[in-house]
Amino acid sequence: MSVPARDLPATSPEPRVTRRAPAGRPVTGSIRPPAPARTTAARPRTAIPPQLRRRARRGPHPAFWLFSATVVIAMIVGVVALNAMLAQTAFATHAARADLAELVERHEVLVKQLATSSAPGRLADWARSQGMVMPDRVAILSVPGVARPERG
Amino acid sequence: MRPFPTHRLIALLAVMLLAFTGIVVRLASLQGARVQDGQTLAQYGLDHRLRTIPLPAERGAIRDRHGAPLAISLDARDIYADPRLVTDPVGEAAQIAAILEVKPKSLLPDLTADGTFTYVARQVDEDVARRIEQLQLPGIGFLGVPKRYYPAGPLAAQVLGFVGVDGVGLAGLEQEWDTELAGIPGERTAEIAPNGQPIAQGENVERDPVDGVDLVTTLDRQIQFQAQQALAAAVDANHAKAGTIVVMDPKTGDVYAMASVPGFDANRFAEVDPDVWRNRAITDAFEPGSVLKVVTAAAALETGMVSMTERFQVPDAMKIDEFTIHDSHPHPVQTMTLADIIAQSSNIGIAKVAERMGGDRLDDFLQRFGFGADTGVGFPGESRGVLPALDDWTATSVATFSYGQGMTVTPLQMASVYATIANGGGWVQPRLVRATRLPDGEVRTAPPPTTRRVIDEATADLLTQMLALVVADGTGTTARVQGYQVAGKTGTALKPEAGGGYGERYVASFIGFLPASAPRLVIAGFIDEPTTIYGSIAAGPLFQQVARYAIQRLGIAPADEVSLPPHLLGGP
Repeated sequence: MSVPARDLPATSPEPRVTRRAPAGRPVTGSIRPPAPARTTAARPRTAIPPQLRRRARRGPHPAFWLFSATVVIAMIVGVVALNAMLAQTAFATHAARADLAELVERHEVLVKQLATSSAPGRLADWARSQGMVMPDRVAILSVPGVARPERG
Repeated sequence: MRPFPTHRLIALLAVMLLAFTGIVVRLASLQGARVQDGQTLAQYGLDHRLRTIPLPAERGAIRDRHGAPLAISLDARDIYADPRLVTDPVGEAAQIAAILEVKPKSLLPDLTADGTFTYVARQVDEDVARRIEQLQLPGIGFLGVPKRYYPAGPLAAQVLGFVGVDGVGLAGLEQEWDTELAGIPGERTAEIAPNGQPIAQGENVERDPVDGVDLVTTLDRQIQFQAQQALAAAVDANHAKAGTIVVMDPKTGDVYAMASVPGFDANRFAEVDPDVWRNRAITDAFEPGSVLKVVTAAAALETGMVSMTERFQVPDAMKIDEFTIHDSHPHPVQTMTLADIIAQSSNIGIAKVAERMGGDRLDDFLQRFGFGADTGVGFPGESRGVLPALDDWTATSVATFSYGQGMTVTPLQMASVYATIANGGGWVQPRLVRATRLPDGEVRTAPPPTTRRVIDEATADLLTQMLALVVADGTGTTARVQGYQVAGKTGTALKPEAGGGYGERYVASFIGFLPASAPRLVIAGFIDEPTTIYGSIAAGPLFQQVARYAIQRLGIAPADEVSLPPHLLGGP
């Protein structure tokens, strides 16, 4: 249970340590409500050891700020770069898909053309248009020494 | 100083805990609550978010024996309209019609119909659909669909059959092999938000489609084309109603060509009379006429009831019961050997032979040759023909069956009979498919066709000699092929009338094989209702023309000639 500030003994052997918040506002170790100004004015000042005072006054090391800034900037740049890469990949994928679809369609057209053009009817029409005619007799060349086929 | 509100804080905490507990309980209750069909609300919600999109499998191609495409599948698009969103029906109809090359009026009803979906055009080629898509017409949408394409149009259309707009085989090999050709469609199940976008991290399950197998047929598309052309020319030249031709390898049973006239373009099957869809070589049965005499002769020789040198006194007519049967033309009583009877195609002569054998023996051999039964070629709607049971034979059945009247057969059955003789007496099941090719490229060869011995090889040799005499010096001289000895038989069959009896309609035919001593090719041609009724005139040249081309295509060399059998008529 907290104790009002005014009830503190005037000569406390162990002075309360005041920590500084990052914003520089003093925060006490207790959860008591802030004391009225008049009470603070009446409160006897206490001495703070020099080493503690130095530590309370000193902010983060500049290297810390540099490091933090670097990390944050790197993260931002990384996120932006990643996003750009994803977008670029999406565009590339979309383009590749479009190319694939077009090639598949082209392939199908070619398959159809090939199948249609090589159909016997087309070839016969083309041959006729070139003046070719079906032979009306079979020419047989007999090769000496080659036996004629037998049944079976 | 006011006291710290401990009790109020505890009370507030308790109220918050109670409220939170209430929310948790209600949440659990809703998640686990059953709404319908035993489903929990969570499942119900998931089902509403899940969308299953079918992933169509590519239908396998049908190829000829050398791999040339006879039927292939292409990507196409259905064009549909949401009439509510069509702002200018007349203008849009005009623009679409110009690309589709149809009349704008034909499209207008689709663009002004009630409802939210109407097809404007089905299975439109990709390039055409793309041109319409580029117009960015409001209310017009596109659906990707496969389209069956037959590159050679009418080539073997009755054999290949066709596929409906829903991708199901409706006739021919497309129907017979539909399951294998169609493959197994896949599907993608994904969680979709109400705005139609996929939900990230949601359910997304995909099952890949399995493409259909390619069918490698026994057809040779070049022989098929020539046979089809020659048949059409023969039908035209004889002013016939229709025609059928079968070209096959007697040893393997492979059908090189099978065609019927009139034909149709399988790409436009819906535009023709369904009557021409039939593959007459397999689905139609008819009375074969004299081409069947060879079966009677085979039975007579195989059973030893007749010898090759035996002489028959053959008049031009014979009375059986109260009926009289005739030869095709009047002649005095002639002395004939069995070879003469076949070569001159005497009905009376072969009837005498059959009467000596008796009905049971003839019936036995008709069945051995496969009449009245499927060939097992693997084709939808195959006819068995009609071979009446022996008990149902009439007094004239033995005589009329002996020369191919009174019973019906299919052209393929008849071709198989001659293939059996060409094959030395062994029947080989005809086949249309020689292999399937899986999507991964593996080729699975069809099992070898079933075979059975029908007659001895010696009997087959004698029959071959008789058939060679038919072409050399009988009724089949029009089927001769220079440089090759052809064995074959003509046929002229009366067609039965619907009301019973016979009129003046005929089927003319010629079936033969070559080279006679080492057969590589069987060709059976039938001309339905020609003006010239005789098979030798109507169908002989058809055989000759197709044989001449097939010899070159297959590289068939001439073989030694078989000797001609003892005969008394005709030349030496």
